[in-house]
Amino acid sequence: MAVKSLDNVCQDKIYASVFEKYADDINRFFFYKYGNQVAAEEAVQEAFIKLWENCKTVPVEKAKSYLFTVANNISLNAIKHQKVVLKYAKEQPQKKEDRQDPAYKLEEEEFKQKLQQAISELKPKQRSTFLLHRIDGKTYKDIAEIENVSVKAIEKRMSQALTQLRQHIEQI
Amino acid sequence: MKTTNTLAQWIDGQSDFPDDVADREVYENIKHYSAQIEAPTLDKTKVFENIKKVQGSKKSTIKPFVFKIAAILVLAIGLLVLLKEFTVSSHKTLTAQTQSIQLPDQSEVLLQPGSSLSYNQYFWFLDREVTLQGEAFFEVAKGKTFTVNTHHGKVKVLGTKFNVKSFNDELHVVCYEGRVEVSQNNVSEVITPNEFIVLSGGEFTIKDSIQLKELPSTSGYYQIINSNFDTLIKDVERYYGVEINSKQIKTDKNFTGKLPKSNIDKTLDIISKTYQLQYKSINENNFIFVGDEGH
Repeated sequence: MAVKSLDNVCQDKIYASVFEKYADDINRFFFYKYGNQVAAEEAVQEAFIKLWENCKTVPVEKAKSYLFTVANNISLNAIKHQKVVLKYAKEQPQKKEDRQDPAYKLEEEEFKQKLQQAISELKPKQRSTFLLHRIDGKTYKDIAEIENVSVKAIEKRMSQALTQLRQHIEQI
Repeated sequence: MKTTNTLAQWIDGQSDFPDDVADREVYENIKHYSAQIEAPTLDKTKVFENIKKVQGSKKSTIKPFVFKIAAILVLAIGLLVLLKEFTVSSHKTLTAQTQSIQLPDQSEVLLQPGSSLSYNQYFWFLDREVTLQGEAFFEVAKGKTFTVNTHHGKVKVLGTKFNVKSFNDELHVVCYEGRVEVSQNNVSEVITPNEFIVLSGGEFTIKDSIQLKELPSTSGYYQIINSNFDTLIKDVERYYGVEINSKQIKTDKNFTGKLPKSNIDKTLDIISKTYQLQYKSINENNFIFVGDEGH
């Protein structure tokens, strides 16, 4: 019993550390899915407010899945879908270090643009899986937990995302 | 079912690239470049503060909270009704958007693009007073003094038709009917129909007359009076919701004329002809002005 009360999310310190730990994850997950930064921020806020309201019934070890469940359930009617706009990190190594000629660089830029556009055309579920893996380096197990489906389902989404991306890129 | 996940296993490093899939090069590129995308950033401090605020307001949740909620609901509904009835009512237009507003005394306001208007309904019959940011055309019902407050000064009338435009550091007032008094601090001027006045930097810089044929509320045109080029371009951007790059243009010629509402092409043609410019459309909402050849 004593242990339980120690781990109560209602305690400011524990609550703050849970926030510190998962706020970014929820923000990214939501942003990858719907491409709306404002909505993502609101989702983070809403999830944590709900967590606070139910802090007595949610043990710390369940906080993460609770947060993602809330975020997953946020009514999508309220969200205005925006085009997902992604940026590339600056100063990235080239794929082929030995190729410094302008023609290659141009080709590389062109591919990056096409990829960006293709990602924005993915279905939300495919996009969040793809980006959580590619940008955040999450494992399929992590993503399965976040999306609340099986690892198999995530692998399927990933494969579909890849096939879709290839098709989009070739069509652009 | 088995083969569908091979690509997922490959990109995760669990297996080699599947033999039965074509376009390996494209997939390799997708794998490589997608990892270079930047993650979104979250202003955690701000969000956390917001959450704290909500927490603070919800902290006192003791047992008979159902009663409390009921009481709060009753209060909230009461307050909402009061607020709706008695407080400031405001209107706002985006670019390329206008709004017709009827004030409590049946006075009519046409709020032009990119502007906002507010007034207090409760005190309306004590004091006919509105606050304007931007541009509006007023058709004021006869009655007590009607005042338009702007950043740059006050416009007072009894019952008239007039246009007020208050952007940047200028107040521009045109009288269509009746008498209009424009004042700021201790300076004031009266204009009569077919006159306009400009108040800039605390002084009246221009007072002149102009032939006005149509009221802005019924006309299919935006009336521009004695406007310098930069102001004209800003007006056009607001009226039509477009962006115009005119950095290359230097001119001190003023513009007076009518621009057709919702016809940006014609408007740009008119400006081009007047100033001898060329324009190019970058896309539907984006234009660039350059000097005509030989200029």
